[in-house]
Amino acid sequence: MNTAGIIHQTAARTDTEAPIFVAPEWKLVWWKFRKHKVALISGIIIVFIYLVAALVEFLAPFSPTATNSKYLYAPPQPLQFDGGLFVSGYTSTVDKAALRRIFVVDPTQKIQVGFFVKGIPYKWFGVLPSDRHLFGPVDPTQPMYLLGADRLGRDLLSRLIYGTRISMSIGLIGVFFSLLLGIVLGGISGFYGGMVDTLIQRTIELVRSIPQIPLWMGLSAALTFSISPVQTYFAITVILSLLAWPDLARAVRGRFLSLRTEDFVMAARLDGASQWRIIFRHMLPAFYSHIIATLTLTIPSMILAETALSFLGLGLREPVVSWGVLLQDAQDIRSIATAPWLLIPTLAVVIAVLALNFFGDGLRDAADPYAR
Amino acid sequence: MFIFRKISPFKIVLGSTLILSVLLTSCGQSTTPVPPTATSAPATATVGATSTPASKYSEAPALAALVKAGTLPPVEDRLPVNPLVVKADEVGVYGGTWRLGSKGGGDDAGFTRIFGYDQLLSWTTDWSGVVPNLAENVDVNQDASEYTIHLRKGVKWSDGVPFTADDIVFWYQDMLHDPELNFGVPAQFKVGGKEAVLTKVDDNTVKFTFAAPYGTFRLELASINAVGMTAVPAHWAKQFFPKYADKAKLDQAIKDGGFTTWVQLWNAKVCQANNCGSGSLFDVADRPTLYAWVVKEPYVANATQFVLERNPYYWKVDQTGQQYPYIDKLVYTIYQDVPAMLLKATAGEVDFQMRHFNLLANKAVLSDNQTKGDYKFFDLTDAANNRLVLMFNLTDKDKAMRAIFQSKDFRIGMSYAINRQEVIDTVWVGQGTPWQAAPLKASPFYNETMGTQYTAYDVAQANAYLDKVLPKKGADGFRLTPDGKPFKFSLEIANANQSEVDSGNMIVKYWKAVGVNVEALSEDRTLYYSRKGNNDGEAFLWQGEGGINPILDPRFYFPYSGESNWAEAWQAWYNNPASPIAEEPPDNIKALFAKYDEVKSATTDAAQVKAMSELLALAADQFNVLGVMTPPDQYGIVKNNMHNVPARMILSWVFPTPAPYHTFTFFFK
Amino acid sequence: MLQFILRRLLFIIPTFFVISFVTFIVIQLPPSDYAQTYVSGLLAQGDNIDAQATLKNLRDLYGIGEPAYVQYGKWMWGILTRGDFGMAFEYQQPVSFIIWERIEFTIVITLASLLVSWLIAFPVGIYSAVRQYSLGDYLSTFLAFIGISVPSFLMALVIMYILFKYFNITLGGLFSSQMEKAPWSLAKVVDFLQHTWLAILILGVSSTGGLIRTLRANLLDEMHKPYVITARAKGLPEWKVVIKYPLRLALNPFISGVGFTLPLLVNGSIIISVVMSLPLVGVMLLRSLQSQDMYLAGSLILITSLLTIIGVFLSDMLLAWVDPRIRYQ
Repeated sequence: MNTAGIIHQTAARTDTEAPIFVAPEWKLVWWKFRKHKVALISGIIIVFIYLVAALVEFLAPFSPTATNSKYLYAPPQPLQFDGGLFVSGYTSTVDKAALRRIFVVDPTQKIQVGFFVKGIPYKWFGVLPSDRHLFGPVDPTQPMYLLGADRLGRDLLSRLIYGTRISMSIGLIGVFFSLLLGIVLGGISGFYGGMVDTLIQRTIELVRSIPQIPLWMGLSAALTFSISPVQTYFAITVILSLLAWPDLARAVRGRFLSLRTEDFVMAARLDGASQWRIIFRHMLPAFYSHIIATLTLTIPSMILAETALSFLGLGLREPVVSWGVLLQDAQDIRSIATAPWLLIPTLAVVIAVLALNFFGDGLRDAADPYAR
Repeated sequence: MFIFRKISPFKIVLGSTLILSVLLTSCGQSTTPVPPTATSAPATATVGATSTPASKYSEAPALAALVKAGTLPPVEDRLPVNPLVVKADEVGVYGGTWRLGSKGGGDDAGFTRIFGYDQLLSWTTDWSGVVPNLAENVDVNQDASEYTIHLRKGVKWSDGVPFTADDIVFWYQDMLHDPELNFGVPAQFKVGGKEAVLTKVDDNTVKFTFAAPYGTFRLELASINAVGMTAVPAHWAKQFFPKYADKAKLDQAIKDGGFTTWVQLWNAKVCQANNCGSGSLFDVADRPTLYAWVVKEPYVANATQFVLERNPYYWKVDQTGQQYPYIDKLVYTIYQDVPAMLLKATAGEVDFQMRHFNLLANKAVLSDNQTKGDYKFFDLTDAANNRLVLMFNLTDKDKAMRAIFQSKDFRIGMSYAINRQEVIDTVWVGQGTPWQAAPLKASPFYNETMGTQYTAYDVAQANAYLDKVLPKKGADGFRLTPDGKPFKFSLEIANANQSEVDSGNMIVKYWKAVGVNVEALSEDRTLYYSRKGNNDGEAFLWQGEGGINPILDPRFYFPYSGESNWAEAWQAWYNNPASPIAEEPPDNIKALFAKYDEVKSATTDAAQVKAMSELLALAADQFNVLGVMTPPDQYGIVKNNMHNVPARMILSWVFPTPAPYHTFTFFFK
Repeated sequence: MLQFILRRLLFIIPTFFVISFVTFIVIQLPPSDYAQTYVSGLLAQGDNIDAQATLKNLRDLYGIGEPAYVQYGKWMWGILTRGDFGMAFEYQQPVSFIIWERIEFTIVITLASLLVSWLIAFPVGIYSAVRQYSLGDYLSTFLAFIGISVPSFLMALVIMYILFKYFNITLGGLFSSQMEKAPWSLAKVVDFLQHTWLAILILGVSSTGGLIRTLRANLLDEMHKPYVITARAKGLPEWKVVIKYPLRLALNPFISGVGFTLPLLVNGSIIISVVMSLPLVGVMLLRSLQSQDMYLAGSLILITSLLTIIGVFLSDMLLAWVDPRIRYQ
């Protein structure tokens, strides 16, 4: 065997690995995560989705609740190009026997579509007034249904964009609440051990083994009475997080158990640091990446749970627009048979859930950069 | 084919007057039975022996076989002395299974509509009056306070036991007056708070005596609310009634059923509330009945089918003497949800249905599959006075709110603010026209002014009227109460019907546009009822009632019942002054009460119609509730091979469509 | 082992009480009751009844007006002493008379879909671990996640419509009407499967994703252990290496999987039964919650939860038996 070669190899290794020894943890995680291409793409998609959620008013061409009697169940108008973007208009008639509007594309009717057009006024983040929208018909009174219209002639695209904010934030806020519960209970359980641990462990097992839907159904049935849509929104978020915390608590506890005997914890203890300081200052930073990974995997289940509740008629209600509400509109035979474009929100759900799952998966793999 | 005709005032008066004159002539002279011919309404002439009954009756082949085998008496012995002859549009043939769809739990009203409407009197098919049914005739005394009912002689329950005066007496005196059951006598058997006295004259005759004149009682005998009267077979029900039952056997039955008291057993087997119209009627296999079909596989929890078979003792025949019904069997498939039912219907696996999936929204799907499923549509004329009635709580617990709601100017302003045509075009695919809560064109009480006043969409007018009541506005552009507080309330909507919720959401937007801050609040129907029952809440949306026959349920014309959501405290004062929410109304409302008392006690139809018209004129002037639109036609589907189904029917509950169109004459060919 | 079993068994008892209590509180939360539902229903359809009197009658009859703790006490006492779960108001029958049939079929459907998810997850999981980062691995991961992310009710509804539209098949119910009352036979089982295959498949697929992921992760962990490397070094063929050692350990997720997929499947069966019109627990539960039929709703939640807990307990036992390390944790 060529000795020089071996020496050369070793040298090369030292060269490439040198930054690893001095890199902070987040950098290590990032390097490892970067290798997971699907997770990376998913991460970009997630950033995009949250961006949409943040800029809803600017991105949506119309109001999500603006009805139009002439465009009930209007099919999507494809975007066309002839030097400028446009969509073709519709002529429609009412079919009295079947009680519906019949739409015929009218190629002579060109509706110009532009960017940064004027539309309904709104306020950026509730403060700065504006009436510019990223795109839309140049004449705001003209119809433009890129994804079609629903039963009241409302623009599905605008509703989908508005729904993004509610659905994604439900996931985020819900996860935040369950994170609090999970960290506090899981932390206590893992740190103290003994009786406390057993008690919390049993509680976790209990909550995990209860089929959740019946309980949601019970709780939501109790809640769907006479409260405003905003209150329903918060109530549902709380319900979802109340039932999601055990998974987080388990993850946190497991980490605590393995870290408790680590030298640096022992060192901190000998240094006379208080319990809380040890937990929050020393132990938590050691596994936050794990928590983030678990969180990312919890959000999609919350989004799905919201749609399931809406399906059962126990979730959010009009005039609040969420993906669950949109799917509820699409779930009857009428929509599937005569207006299949109303199923488009399913795609949004699938994309968001897939992206979050892949992202969380990659994050979990990368979360422990010192392993293997 | 039955053809729906618009009823002119002339016809309804003529129809009912005829009945009354017949009844009046027979009163005091003799009790000789008057042949049904004379009492049938000339407007339709579908009921009654216009053709002479055949000398010999015939029956379904399956029954003939049983007779031959000796297990069933011959048809002549099973039929009453004078079977009711109902003329079928097309003489039918026996056989077939009528397939329908039902939902698990709480579908009783749907059953009543198809086969559960056989009472002492019955509505004519155009709802212009009443005709004899189980009662051969009813004698009324001069001041309409005494009703002598002559039961059809020889009618038998489905187990062969005769139906007699004792059945009515048991129902009224034993069941309704039992202290443990505590049902109480239904409202329509009371006048001025006093119960009617029932006396048995002979085996086939009973007499109701009222404390005061009660001209509309004969209508109540045909109304669906009297369903309990002919639904309790005394000979059978007594086995569950401690006064008559064998104690050991009763105790055993209670134990076997898993109950703890006989009242629970009674509720489960015989009757649950004083109107008796739901639950146990369909939950007990082989319960003796007077209806055309007998329950074989009951409608119980976990049942996937509800099956009925022909009643061998049914007491009606067609013009050729064939005993009804034509169809052998009814099979309801019990679905857990509507989409599955809709798919089965489009696949042609439902023979006739006008319930559950017949939403306007689903018509497109059903229309697309018409050839595949081999069915057609029939139309239903909704008898409600409006599709969407908007009510402000004129007896609101908050005195400041109440003062605003009671102002007619406020209500006029709110009415002008609504773009009715846009609601109709958007939510109801253009079906219907702007309309207030007023009798429809098809009604003898039609009054154009009452229906069209303040229906124009006129924001300027709306603001002008609202400025008279609520001139001040806050910084957010919304109006303030006269004492400067934000004026804000909710419009409560029962969430069962998507179109109602959609309409409510639109209406609220129009109101906001004129500075009135209203939120739409859709909630479960149960909560809706519990809130209005306690006189909570400020505004309600509900469907109309009394568009064709306003006498029977005038809830939107004056505070008539608990269903008058706009004045719960006043209706409570009228119906039950002891109620905790009762409040004495102002004089203009009392004038309405007085008018209705006049309607009820009127002994002639002319007087009745006149008093009711006057009441409506007063109501129109007071403008207590807002309407949005005339009710759109509804529809049902029927297989192409099912005959005798009218192409258009009136839709109501008091007139339980389609039962008054004689579902036992439907047949397959 | 015995001590372990006893400890876990004892744990079921307090669980039962906690669940029953929570359940009871939850179903009592809505500001209304069954009597009000019943009366509202009659009034809404136009029946002319004396609402206040009927309300009072019903509340007296069923003890609805009593304080919650009295009702809970009576309910529990009835269950423990007589197996009496109270009255199902709407059906006018004792709860215990009407729920078992639905629970049985729910169990059958749940177990069948558990089997389906195993049958799919087992080969796919092994494949994607052995061929890590291959096209097949990505594809199976993707499909697994699709199964997780498409809401099952929409999948069911769309498939039902497609079956109807293009194959003229309408699904619904558990049996055809002629088989309904027939005694059990092979023909009846076939009939049952013909009616429920779609539900079983959709349910199975929705929980397959999780299983594939866990199996893959566990197998990958084991594949890097020294004993596998030794086996490989000794020249065992790859498939033999996998099957002989790591797979046995990686099987644990299947056994413990019963524990965490069971609640998911019960959840799923509730939703699926509503969409596909199957007379299972879900529809009855939804309806009883809406109509405030509280003993029925309470009993259904209680029994499904309890059955799940027992399922989880059994899977724990099995796991402890297969993998002795668990016992001493």
